[in-house]
Amino acid sequence: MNRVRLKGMLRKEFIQLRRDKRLFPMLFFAPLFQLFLFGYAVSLDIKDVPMVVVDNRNDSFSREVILSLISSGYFRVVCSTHSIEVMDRKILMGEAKAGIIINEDGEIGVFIDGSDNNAAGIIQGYFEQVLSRFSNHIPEVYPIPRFLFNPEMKSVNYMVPGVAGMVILIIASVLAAGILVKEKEIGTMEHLLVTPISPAEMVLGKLIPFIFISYIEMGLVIPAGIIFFHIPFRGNILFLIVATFPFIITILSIGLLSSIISSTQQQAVMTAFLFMFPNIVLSGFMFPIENMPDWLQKITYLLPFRYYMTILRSVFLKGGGFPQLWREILILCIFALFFFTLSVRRFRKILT
Amino acid sequence: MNSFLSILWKEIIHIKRERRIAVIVFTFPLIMTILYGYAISFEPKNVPTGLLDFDNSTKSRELILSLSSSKYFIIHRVSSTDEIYRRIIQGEIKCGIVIPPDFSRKEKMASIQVIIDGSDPNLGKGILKNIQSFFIPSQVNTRFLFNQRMVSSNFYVPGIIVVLITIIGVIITSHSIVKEKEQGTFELLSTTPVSSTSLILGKILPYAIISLIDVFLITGFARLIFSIPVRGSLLSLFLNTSLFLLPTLSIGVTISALSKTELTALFASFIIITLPSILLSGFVFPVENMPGWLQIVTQFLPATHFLKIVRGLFLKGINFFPAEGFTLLGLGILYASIAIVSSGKRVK
Repeated sequence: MNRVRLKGMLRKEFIQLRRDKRLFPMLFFAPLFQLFLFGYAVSLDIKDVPMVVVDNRNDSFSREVILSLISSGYFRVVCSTHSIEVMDRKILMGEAKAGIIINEDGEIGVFIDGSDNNAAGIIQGYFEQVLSRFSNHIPEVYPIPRFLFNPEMKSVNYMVPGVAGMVILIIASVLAAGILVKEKEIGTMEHLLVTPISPAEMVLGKLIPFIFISYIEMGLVIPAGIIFFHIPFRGNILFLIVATFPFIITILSIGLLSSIISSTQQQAVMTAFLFMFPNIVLSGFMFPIENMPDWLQKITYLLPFRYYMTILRSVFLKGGGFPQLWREILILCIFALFFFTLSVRRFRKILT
Repeated sequence: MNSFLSILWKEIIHIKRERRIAVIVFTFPLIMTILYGYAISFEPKNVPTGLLDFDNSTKSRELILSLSSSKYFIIHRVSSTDEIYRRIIQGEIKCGIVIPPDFSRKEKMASIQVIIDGSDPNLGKGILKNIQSFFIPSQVNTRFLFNQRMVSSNFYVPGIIVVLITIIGVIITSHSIVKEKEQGTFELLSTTPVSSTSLILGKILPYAIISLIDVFLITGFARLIFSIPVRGSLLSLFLNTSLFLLPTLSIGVTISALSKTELTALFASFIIITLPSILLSGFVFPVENMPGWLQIVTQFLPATHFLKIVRGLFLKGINFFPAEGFTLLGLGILYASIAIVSSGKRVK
């Protein structure tokens, strides 16, 4: 390793980055776009459920039931009718998501559009909550819940820390995938090969600028998340910076690896996408790993993003640090070491 | 007409020669259907639960036994409340149940304390719902329509079909044009007497047919693996898919007209189509919960409307969708004109 040569290589890379006009909008626009999309879009909460009322009793009891449903804030009445067919049709056409029938003998029946079973479960919970007042059954055991870390139960608090990781995942792997093939495609690879730069120096020279960029992305998304979405940050920022390092190295090495084994930029990016997609779907970023079938849960252990996701959320919401997260960091370090050596070795092979 | 046919024929030869298209169109959707179909579920099962029993009576032990035999919880005994907090922070357990010392002395309303990791609110609410329905027997006589057994794949898999077709349609159309640009053959085409409209149409049509075939392929596959009900008619699925493909493929053409390299096109379609179609179409997250301005944005995505159609058709057996159909047609005309204008400029 020669410091002068490495410095020269680094200078060349930074100049190239500065000249790439496509890069800058991608680096700044893409992460913020993702942040706002995820921040605003992802919420599974249900409010104002449109409901059809079939009141066959029409007395003070039935009116009180309906009134308490409306005043709970969960429901709004779209239609009051005496015909069950009307109710069925409204639910079928999607104009209403639920219906309630109060019979003359005071019996209450609830109908819920089950096509979205997640929403249906939540709506059922609302009905239970409101209607339990009208039954004289007293439960034997009564659970009193307490939610830790996120007492207002806001989805953004959970999603936005994940976006910081996703931005690094997408941008770092696409950038690293593109960079080496680009030299191959435009023919400057041969030029580099005749210089006295060693493979390790070259790989490092290529990676270091991207490490910087990844940290800049993080520095962009995290403050934006805190300012715009009021995400709590309970951990230590220094710890997060350190814990992010093995993740960045892993992602960049995988990007570089796909760059080495491809002959065109497009192939390389496609390969990187192939790696990215399962990481996004299965990391627990959007869908809880706990709810997946066992065989799929086992696969998630092979994904670096899964561990980084745990680190991010723990640092943001639980104030996690080294004592809680050393396992995840250790696993990420192993991933980083493995993929880095693999890409350097593959690279050497190509040179000789 | 003749020039249109020859462009069409040329494109079919291209497709036959390129193996990658087959991978994108056939292998990718099958893998994604399996991946998403199994991955998306918001019903927690086997939740690791810390249990602290201060009462230690026959009644509390019976309760613990019935908790651990339910499919919702995996019980770990803990010795203090501090341990519950510590293990939740470490992520070893997702919730803790504390049985108070006076538990067995109370006949009714014996309260137990439940501590839930709220960092994932969706998971947290699901866990609470399981606990509540475990302890408080349902007081409400409920019937779920269209999806009696509340299978989550019945809801999500139709959405997967919509998202996949959107992604594939946009990627393969933009690929077909940008590739010609990169190889320089697009200039050649523009010097021939083919008008830009018939050039675009001839290029789009084969991909529209491929996407149509793909819809039926993924539907059949989803039926086979996840036993998704298809209650509406296949003819209606065919017609509505055609309506949906016009705006979608037009977006693909516009993206490719505006980008110089395949890499840019791929990245642009990821930002403009793939991500919004997954997040904003109502595929997983209900549109009604989004802020008003974002709901307006969702109306411009063809996937939002097609999703309503596919779900209604599969689960409810509806065959006619006048509102969604007209919206798709309107979006189709809008995006197709944008596509023709933007690619016409490029040719000149």
